[in-house]
Formats: sequence, C-alpha cells, structure tokens
Amino acid sequence: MIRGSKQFNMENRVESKIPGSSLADIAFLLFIFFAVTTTFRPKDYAGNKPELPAASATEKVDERVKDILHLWVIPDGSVWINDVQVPLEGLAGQIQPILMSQPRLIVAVKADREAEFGTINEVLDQLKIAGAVRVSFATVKRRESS
Amino acid sequence: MLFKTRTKVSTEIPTASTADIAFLLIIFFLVTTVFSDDKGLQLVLPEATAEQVKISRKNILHIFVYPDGQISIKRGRDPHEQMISKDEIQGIMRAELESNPNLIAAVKVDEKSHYEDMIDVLDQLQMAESTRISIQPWIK
Repeated sequence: MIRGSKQFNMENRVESKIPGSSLADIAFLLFIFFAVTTTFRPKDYAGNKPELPAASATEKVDERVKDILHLWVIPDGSVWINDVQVPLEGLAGQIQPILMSQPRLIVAVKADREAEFGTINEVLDQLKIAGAVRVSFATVKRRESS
Repeated sequence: MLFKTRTKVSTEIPTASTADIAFLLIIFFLVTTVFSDDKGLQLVLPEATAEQVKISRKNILHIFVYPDGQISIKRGRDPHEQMISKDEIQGIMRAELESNPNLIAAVKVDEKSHYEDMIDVLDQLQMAESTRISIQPWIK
C-alpha cells in the first residue's frame, strides 16, 4: 500500500531537450555533397554582350554545363574564351588542352550578327586544327510571327 | 525499491526537424541552380586532314552569300547563278534533297559578309533537314 502511493506521486518526466549531436553530421554531409557536386561556371565576357543572330531552327545545347565552352566574337573582331581575350592565331593552342581533359566539349560560338565572316572562318579553321569539331552557333529563337 | 528504478533513456531519434532541413535544402537548390541556357545551331566540323574528298559536281548545290547579304545558288553542272531570297532556300533544298539525298550544300560566304547572313542560310538548310553542309570562304 505504501509502495503503491509512492509510485502514484512520481511525475512522468518528458524529455524536453532537442539532441544536437547529429547536427554536425548533417552539416558535414551537406558540405561534402556541395563540395562534390558544385561546378563553377567560368566568368563570361564582361563587355557589351554581342547581339546574337536569330534562327528558327534554334535548339537547346544538350550537354552538361561544364562541357560547354563559350567563345565570344565581338564586332571589332576580337575573340574571347570565357572572359580572356585570345589572339586569333593562338586559339587552337588554347582550346587543345581544354579538349584533352573534356573530350565531350562543345564550343558555343557567340558571335555578333554584325561580325565579319572572315573572322568566323578563321575561328572555325582554328577549331578544326584543335580538333574541337562539336560546334554550336549561339542564336536566339526567331519568333514565328516575324 | 527506489534504488531499482532505472533512469529511462529515450531511444527515439527526434524527427521533428527533418522537414525543416529538407525544405532548407530545397530552397538552397532553387536559389543556386543554374540551368544551361545555351541555345544555337549545332554543327559538327570536319576534322583537319590533308586528304581531300572528291565529290561529283552533280552532288553539290552551291549557295553564295554576297557581302551585301544577297544570296544566289548554282546547281551542280549548271554554270548559271540564280539570285534568290533567303526564305526560298528551305523550299529549294527540300526539293533538291528529294531528288538527290546525297546532295551537299556548299555554302560559300564572302569574307566581308555579315555573320548573320551565314546563320540565316544555315538556319534555312537545317530547317530543310539537310545534314551535309559545307561552309567555306568564297575565294573568287
């Protein structure tokens, strides 16, 4: 009887602490995940963006972001890989090492609509020498009405 | 008797915060994900090889692009050039491909031509589902 009343008085304690020991694990898991998956997009040409020509047959480039190399051709005839200007004659030498590490490379030629074909032709020749045969001429989708 | 009551240790993993973590992740991804917005006309260049492939004249359709943006075509053996408008290329190419599936479109572009005119021709050819396209400088 005495024992029974004793038990009756005992308070039912509810745990009120949030266990924080696993937080670090979660944070590290996140950190590792991001460290593994993050690909940094190289900086693009910083000047006035070239005005891309319009084309009806425009298609999305079906390749991973890091396998697409942006090659800018500015109306004045200068050529930039991402945000670095390269001399036209040295283009093949610049692209070759990139192609070695990324065989699936697609070169997206972002040329201004006013650029001269002479420059474009020289760029294409350099790409052929480097062996970068997968090329995409960056265009904007032409509206059907126009 | 009191001695014998064991301290109860909760063996449950609290899951109340899992949803918060998941949402945090979702929001993070929504904010940081960059989708590739690269669009364009795809083309595979020929490899730079010394050997030249000889192609019969009848399998070539020449398309000339003038510096002022005018377009003309010259069919195979026919020595005559025919001035056409850009929009006509697609129809002509379709008809020509129908009669000769091996036809190669040789686009000859003047060095002084605008890039836009070359793209317009390429666009028309791709719309005509022409797969054998050659782009070359026009040396007169």
